[in-house]
Amino acid sequence: MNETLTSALVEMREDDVLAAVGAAKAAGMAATDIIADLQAGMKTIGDKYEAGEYFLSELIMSAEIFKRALAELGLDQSAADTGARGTVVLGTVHTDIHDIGKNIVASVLSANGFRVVDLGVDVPVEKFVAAVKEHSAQVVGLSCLLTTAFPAMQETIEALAAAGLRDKVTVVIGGGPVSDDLAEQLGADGAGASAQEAVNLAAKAVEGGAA
Amino acid sequence: MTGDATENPTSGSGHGRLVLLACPAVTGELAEGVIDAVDCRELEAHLHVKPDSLKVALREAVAELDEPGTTIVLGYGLCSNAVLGLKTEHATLVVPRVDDCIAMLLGSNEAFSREAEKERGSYYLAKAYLDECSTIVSEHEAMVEKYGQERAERMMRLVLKHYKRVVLVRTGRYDIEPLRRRVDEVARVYDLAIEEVEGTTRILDGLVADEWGDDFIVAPPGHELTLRDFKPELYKDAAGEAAAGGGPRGRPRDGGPEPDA
Repeated sequence: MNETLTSALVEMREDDVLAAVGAAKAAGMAATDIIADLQAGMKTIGDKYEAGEYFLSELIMSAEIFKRALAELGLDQSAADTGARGTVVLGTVHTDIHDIGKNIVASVLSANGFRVVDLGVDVPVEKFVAAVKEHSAQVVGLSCLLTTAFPAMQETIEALAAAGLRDKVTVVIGGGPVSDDLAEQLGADGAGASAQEAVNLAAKAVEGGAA
Repeated sequence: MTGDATENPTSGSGHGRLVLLACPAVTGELAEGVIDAVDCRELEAHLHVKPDSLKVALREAVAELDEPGTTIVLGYGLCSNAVLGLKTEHATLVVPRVDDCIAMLLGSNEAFSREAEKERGSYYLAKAYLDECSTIVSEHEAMVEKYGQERAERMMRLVLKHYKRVVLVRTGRYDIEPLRRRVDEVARVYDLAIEEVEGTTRILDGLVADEWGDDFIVAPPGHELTLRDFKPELYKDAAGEAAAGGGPRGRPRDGGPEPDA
């Protein structure tokens, strides 16, 4: 464990994080080990947020620093275009604009070798359908924080079915209020409660055969 | 009063003792005098950002109040599913059929949707929410203190990236101007418009006055609150007609199949 790197991230010292990543890389440390240290820092920050010690802005700032650290390692989304394990179309569904979790998932998927097409927030149903077609995605990740966005999630999954794409993609839902029960009700293939679960679900979809 | 059940003309279920179990962001919106006349238990306001902890706290509080002849009215909405799974053995449980306190104060989920359609990037505030919860106002102040103005602003801009306006919900119970002044600096720094919208305490008043119409789920002992109670529209396939009609109105659908085990 690279304490310098992890604590720099937990303390939001962006320059120190990037310097530590650069140094570790130069010293020949494996990218996966550097990522593990960064993810350990993210976990601590998440726990501090849960405990009320950290604010939302600190959580988001850490995700931003994490993203830059990945870019430093050449593992940002655009860099993962070739030789990817698979393609994941990701977005916060129509009627919702919350994206902290979605952005963290995008970074972690990229870090784990997936090509991520991030459609942003308040994404119209048609945009998901078009992106799945255009990028021949194997996985679609639908995110929401608001329970008011459940109908939009359902509409998006129905639209994928109407476009004849439902059998071709694994649909995974994520975000604070989602659950396996909800996934089943909305017609999704699974639900993830963390970035790591998103990676596991995506890996299962592309390597273990689509659900 | 406990055990001395009286007939409730709205729900058809009897209740003697009424207890309000609520979030401070909700109780703070009740009219002065009302709150003093109600047996009220409050949970921590901060729990709304931790739905799993809120769920545990609600279960414990409901279990403690679960006695024959008691009606527990919840000053909560769906609140990120925190109320799902709640069930009593003896008491009746009443909960507004809304997603959260903002929908409650705007009057309905539909009213919230209409407001949200005007501008998705809206940050909603009411007085009690501002008083009790961590908001962009308190967060901005805390971040400036911890990181200095420049870094704080950079971090807060990430939080507010998709936000265009602050919406002050005007329920008519208090002067909105002091609220506007408290929000003013943050709105100016982060280029947010401040808008007022008409709110209402109708649901809140109905909740404590046992006027439980269509806007409420009235769950008798043994009925477990499920997502179907709050969002019947998502359950098109099963019992299609009921869902098409908007689901149960003001009374639980006991005897019907529950979607969740």
